[in-house]
Amino acid sequence: MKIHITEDNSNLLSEIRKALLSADFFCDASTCFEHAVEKIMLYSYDVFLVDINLPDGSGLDLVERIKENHPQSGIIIISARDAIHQKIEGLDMGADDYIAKPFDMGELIARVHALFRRKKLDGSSSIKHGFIEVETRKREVMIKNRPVDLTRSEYDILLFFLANPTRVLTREAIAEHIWGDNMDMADSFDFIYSHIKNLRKKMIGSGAADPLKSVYGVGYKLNPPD
Amino acid sequence: MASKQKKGNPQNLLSMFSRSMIIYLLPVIILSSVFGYFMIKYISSSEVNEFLTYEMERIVDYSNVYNDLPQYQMVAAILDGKHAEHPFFRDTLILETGDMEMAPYRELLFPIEFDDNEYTIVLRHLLLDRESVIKATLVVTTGLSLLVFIVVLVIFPLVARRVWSPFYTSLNLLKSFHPEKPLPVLPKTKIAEFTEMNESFDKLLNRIQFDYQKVQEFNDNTSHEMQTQLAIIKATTENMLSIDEGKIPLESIEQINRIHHSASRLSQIQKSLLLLSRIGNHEFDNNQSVDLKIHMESSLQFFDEMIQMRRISLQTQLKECKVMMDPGLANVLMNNLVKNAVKHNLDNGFISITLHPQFLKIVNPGLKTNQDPESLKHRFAKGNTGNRGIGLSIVDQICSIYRFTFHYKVEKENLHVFEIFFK
Repeated sequence: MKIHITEDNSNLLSEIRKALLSADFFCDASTCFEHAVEKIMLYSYDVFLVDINLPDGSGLDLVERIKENHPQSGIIIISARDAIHQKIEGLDMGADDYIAKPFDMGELIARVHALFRRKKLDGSSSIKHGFIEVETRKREVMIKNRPVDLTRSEYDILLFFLANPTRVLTREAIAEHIWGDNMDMADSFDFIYSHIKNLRKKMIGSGAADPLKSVYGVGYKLNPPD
Repeated sequence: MASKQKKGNPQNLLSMFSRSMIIYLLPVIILSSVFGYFMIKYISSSEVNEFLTYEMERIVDYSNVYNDLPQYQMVAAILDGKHAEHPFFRDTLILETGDMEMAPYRELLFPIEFDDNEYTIVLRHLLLDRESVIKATLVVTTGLSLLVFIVVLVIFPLVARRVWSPFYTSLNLLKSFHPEKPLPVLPKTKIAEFTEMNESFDKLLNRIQFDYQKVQEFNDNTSHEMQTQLAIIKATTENMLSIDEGKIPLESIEQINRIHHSASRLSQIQKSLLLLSRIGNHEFDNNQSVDLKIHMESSLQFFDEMIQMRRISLQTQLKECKVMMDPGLANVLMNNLVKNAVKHNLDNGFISITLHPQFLKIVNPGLKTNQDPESLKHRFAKGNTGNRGIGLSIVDQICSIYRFTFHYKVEKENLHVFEIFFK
């Protein structure tokens, strides 16, 4: 899975790269409009991450060029400015998703995975992790071939972890993943705790091992498959 | 924006002028009528004096020439003897036999000598009686008042309106001022003060627009730069937290987590503040007819799991409610209200929501509070259950740009009641 990132801030770029590499993506990057155009013409990628505000051009123009040259590729817009207007504009131009700065790396990885699945870039809509099997198109979870009934948030949380098997997901990241800007993070930790408790109970009750490991004071991490 | 008017509505400038004029003219009219009364009395009595004196001189001349008195009915009486050295006036009342009323008379008594005898002659003339004087005064006063009232109530406002018209033109232009619209052109006037005022306003508005644009630019740049730097902090700390176990000491993980948490919090606060200022700047203007019932239902669905988790019972009575507003803001409005009701509820509590075409009412039990609920509507107000400020100030801001009335009160110690009246 090849990803191209266009981001003019080199510090942020290197952190995004680090995170994507740790999730086993292949990454290439440009720090300016000119460079990105060149890459778009020469190579092909599965997903493009495009920052809207570039020093020598607009990311929205890049989206247009990507659409012309690689109609099959997925595009995720990154922006820090005027979220609502640019989101609409970007999605109108053919971008598949939008993520606002500052975002969690876990969230970015989950979005890339979701985009892969939606575009069927890896040809499958099911995720396996030990005994746990998730059919994303039907939003179904099976353990040892028996369906498990999860609430909407429990399902979202499980999928979020499955997309980030090697990362610690902070409580802030989980809160934002489920509720977006609609919840003040500090107030939602209790709810996240309850959701995770219920999720664990259901998993263990269906015969799987505890899928999550608590990282004290920080968040949770997916246990390796049993 | 929503200016709080003090008790008693302010008065219209022109009617205020007319009213004060009348108040000040009233004592003037009363005083002038009293003055008029005495004036009429004085003039009539001095006329009579003059007339009687003239008659006296005629009689004296006649007696000097003919050594006799003229046959003259003005002479009321001839008394024997000298009653005084010099002529003198006196007032007296005499019964009129016709209508049996006492009438005031002026008498002039003077000594006269003929046939070597001394006499005192009394001349008498009818004076104006009090009633006549009062009547005359009243007629004059009424006429005067009528004139004054016509001038104050009819002519004065016409003149004042013409004189003040540049003021009202400027006022209307100022009312429609918005820093994002082109500056209004305040008209040139013939009146020095208004010209001066308009020039001052021109300077002021220019300054406001300039500052506004600078602040907008600053906000935009800050938000962009800050979010980028926050993104770096968050990404770096997050990557560090995901480093394999054991490679970073526990204490450092705690510290990194603290940095990560603060960066997340800061970015969230900044996003809320940016949203608040965007709403205030009317940047959401995709106004259309929106059914709040649909938005309310989707908000309730969004918070459904949380409501169940806290075992909150939900009582809803939702009717179709069409309002002209931006659908995005309608969504933000409903989400913030429902979120607030869930967040600050009690476990096993309830939420009661009534949506009517004219109003929305949300009631939920919460902690007892001594704070004035109105103050919690403002930004950063801290309640005892944390910061409810931003959510409610977003609600307040949305209501104020659409001119909805938003009330927040606490009843029976811990029942929090939120009401929005649509117009």
